[in-house]
Amino acid sequence: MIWLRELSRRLRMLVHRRQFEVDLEEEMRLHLELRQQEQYQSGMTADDARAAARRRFGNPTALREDSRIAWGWEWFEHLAQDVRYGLRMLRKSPGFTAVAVLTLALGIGANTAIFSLIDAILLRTLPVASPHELVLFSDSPEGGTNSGTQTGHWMRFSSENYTYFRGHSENFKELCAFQSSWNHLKIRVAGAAERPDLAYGRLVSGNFFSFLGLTAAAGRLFSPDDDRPGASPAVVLNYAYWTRKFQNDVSIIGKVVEVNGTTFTIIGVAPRTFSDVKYDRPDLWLPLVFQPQVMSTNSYADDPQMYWLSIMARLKPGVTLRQAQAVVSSQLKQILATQAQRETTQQIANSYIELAPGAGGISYLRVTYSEALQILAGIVGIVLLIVCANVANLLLSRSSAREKEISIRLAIGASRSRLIRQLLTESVLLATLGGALGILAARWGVDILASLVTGGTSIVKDSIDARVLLFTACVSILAGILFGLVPALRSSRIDFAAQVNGSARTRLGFGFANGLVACQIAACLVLLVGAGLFLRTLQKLADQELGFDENHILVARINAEAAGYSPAQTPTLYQALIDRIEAIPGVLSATVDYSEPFGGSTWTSNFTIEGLPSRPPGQMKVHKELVGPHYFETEGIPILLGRDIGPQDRPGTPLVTVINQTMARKFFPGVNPIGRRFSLGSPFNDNEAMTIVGVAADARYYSLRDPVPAMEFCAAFQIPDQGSHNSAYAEDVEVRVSGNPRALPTEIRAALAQVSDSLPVTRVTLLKDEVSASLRLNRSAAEVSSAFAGLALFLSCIGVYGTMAYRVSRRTHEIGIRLALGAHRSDVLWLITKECLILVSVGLVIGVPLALASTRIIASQLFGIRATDPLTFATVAILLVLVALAACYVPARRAMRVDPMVALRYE
Amino acid sequence: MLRSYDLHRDEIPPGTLYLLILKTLARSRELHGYEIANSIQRISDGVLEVEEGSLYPALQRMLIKGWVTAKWGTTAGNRHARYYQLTTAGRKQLGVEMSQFERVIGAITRVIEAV
Repeated sequence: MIWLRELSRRLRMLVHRRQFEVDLEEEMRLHLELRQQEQYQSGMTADDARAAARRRFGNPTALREDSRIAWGWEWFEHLAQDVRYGLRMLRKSPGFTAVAVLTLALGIGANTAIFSLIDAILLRTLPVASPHELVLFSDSPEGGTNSGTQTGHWMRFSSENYTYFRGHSENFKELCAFQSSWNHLKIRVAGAAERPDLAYGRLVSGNFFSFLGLTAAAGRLFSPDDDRPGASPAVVLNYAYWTRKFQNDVSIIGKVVEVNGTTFTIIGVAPRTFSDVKYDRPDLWLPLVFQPQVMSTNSYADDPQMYWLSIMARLKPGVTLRQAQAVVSSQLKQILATQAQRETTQQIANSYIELAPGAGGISYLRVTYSEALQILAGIVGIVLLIVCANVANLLLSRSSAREKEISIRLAIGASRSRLIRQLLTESVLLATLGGALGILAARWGVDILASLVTGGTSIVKDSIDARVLLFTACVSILAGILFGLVPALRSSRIDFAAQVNGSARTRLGFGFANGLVACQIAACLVLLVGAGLFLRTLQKLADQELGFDENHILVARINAEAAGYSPAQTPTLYQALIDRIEAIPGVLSATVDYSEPFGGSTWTSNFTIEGLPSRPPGQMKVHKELVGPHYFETEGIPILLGRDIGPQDRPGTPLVTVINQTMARKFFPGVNPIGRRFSLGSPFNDNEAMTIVGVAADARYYSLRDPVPAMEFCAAFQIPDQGSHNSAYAEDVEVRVSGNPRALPTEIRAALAQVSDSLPVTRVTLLKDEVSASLRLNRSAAEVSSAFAGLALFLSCIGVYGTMAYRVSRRTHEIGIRLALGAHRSDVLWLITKECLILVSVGLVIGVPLALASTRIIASQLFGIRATDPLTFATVAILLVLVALAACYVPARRAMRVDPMVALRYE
Repeated sequence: MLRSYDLHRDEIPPGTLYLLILKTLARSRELHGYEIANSIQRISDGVLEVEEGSLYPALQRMLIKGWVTAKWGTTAGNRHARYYQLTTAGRKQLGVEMSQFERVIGAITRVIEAV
């Protein structure tokens, strides 16, 4: 407390320091005058009296200085002095200042932009109590439900698992569970006549909110009692949904709503800041116990082979993630071993749980972009280093211009440390200006980067916050010290006698400057190689054969569920839509698709072939697609054997399917699969078995990178309400056209509206554009890394030019002598070019191993090309040599034009 | 920071300037710098001669410490002067300095008088 009061007195003093000077001055003057008067009165002459008074008083200047030091603000005044002086120096050389500040702004701005993305996507924590205690049993962003057996990395858990872990939680304070997926809900305020609203709901355990330490914005949140059998059905609203649907009306609390046919009471609203622990935010939360009512299925709680829950836990203090993980993994194996031997020994041995930090919740963005962001952070970090090297080089060549000034300062008694501080202040000032400008650059840079990297979703709101500003300030100051320190140390170590009398011919900073340029070239090589690899990856991916006619297929996204159609009505509706669209001139064929190619969703299952013994489930995996009639004709996928799905495959007919070539090759080697039957799941189920009626050529549905998996395409119309609720409706109508597809969207919309005017059509796009959107991450990697590599190349170019120009100017005298002694102009040209080549070679020698080491990090992002691709390395090396030669051309010409007479007479 | 303690003369034992100022201020309600200097000199019968200017840095330090406060007033001769006044913290500090001084003097005396 005492020091605090002392500090406040000191601060007050800092603010009123003018007054302080005046006060002290007046006080001292009074003293001197009174003493003088006294001496005078005791009989001295006026002059003697003044001298005596001064003698007794001491040296007023020293005393004033001493008093100022007492307040401890001298460093501040020196700093203010340095800043003023620094600003004056910067103003005096506007060209230098502009280049330095602008390049620093680019470097710091790029780092700020990336950091704000990293901050928003990777570092932000959930708005809950002590988020850093939270751990997830899996942070996989995929939502879904598995049934049957699981092995390997466990992402989802059964109700039985959850109960077990809750009962055996030595390492956890508490556990909670929530549904990995979410549910489509039809909601109607009880008694209202209106059509039900569609909403998303997530089932959560009763302690979900208390586990997170949340308090209701209105009403109350769930308690464990709400999640017991026999509890009265209750829902909690998401704040955003409360605002959107009920305009924050508090009187809605206690009202009754009908959710998928069951009446629930709205008991409260979650806090505004909290949207969910998982990125796909539900509109409302419901207790786990109401799963059968909400999903209209059997109870998952009673099925030990239904894996549908995500588990979150709070670590006890002192327990590490690793310790807890080892325990839960061995517990899992124990559970599996003691259960009814559903899994093979091998499956049990391979099963494990990977705990993940839960502070950020389950984020799709984090999982998808964390690697890309880390690579980007590396790239912009290198760019900033190159910028720093450039500015350091500029400072070095400028310090040789300031040698005289500095030697005079040293000669009249400035201490070296004071001088270094002055020079560093100038550098930090430069960096600060660059940083301030960089923040402006980052403000729009963030938007561009965010849209490049993540495809335009406005994930990063209020992105430049205090944390980001702090980061930028630190980066600026560090950069200022980084590029300023060596030049400052060097220029303050000057033989000033030689400087002042003009005879100096120092080779000051040469080795260092060359080293900087070589390092720049090395760093540039790393970035260029990275960019080259990303570009070639993009090209290879874009050149991949898809297997369907993506240039002539239009996709219209429809939602029959929102329009109120029941699953049983859909075949008729869809057939009517198809017939109407096929009547449009220019349309070759139309069909419906339940999940679009490259749409991001997959449905895999194990299966059993009739007449063959069941094989271990891991080996019998097939990707299932639901499709409408004439599907393969519409997609332009050739049928190799048998027939397409047709209009004859209606409800009530025997179930049929078309498999792809990979499935035929893998599971029916050497036999004709037409007419064979298989069923999903195991063992073989005759009632649900499908007959193979055709084999289609392989087409890429899910990924441009991975090989095509085994696929089967079921006739969707045969079982309109089959499978999970979510895929009972077609996602889109696909239309193959003969002419220019871009001319047709309006006609297709009109045709769809004619058949059903209540049917929402969200967008009509070309399939090719959808596929190319799936390359976004690769394209942005190529674009962003190329842009930064280009910037680095440009900066290195300036570096080479600056150094060579400086060397030529320093060697004018020597070149003059050489020419006078009979050297040819071409010898001089070679002299300079040779130096440049040596510089580049050193850079390449440093850069190639660096690049080899760092491209290994990005290897997983590449496709169709090795990280050590010799062609890319060679191209980049040649490019660098050419650019460096171009940069040294101007200085080399200047050297050739040196007039020996002028050069020798100089000085 | 310690520079003010060097009084460049030997007349005042090092480290006692604060003590002298505090004690002087304790005797009267408020004094300005010139009066403090005179008072020290007078009471010590001219034995202790302060380098008068060094009072001022010392007073600044005492202001920071909160031992004294200062305010502007008018002298008998109708001149503008800054008057210093002891605070409670200053009074406490005087006690500390006194006991420290006595301990040191006592020790020195014992050393000198020892046979």
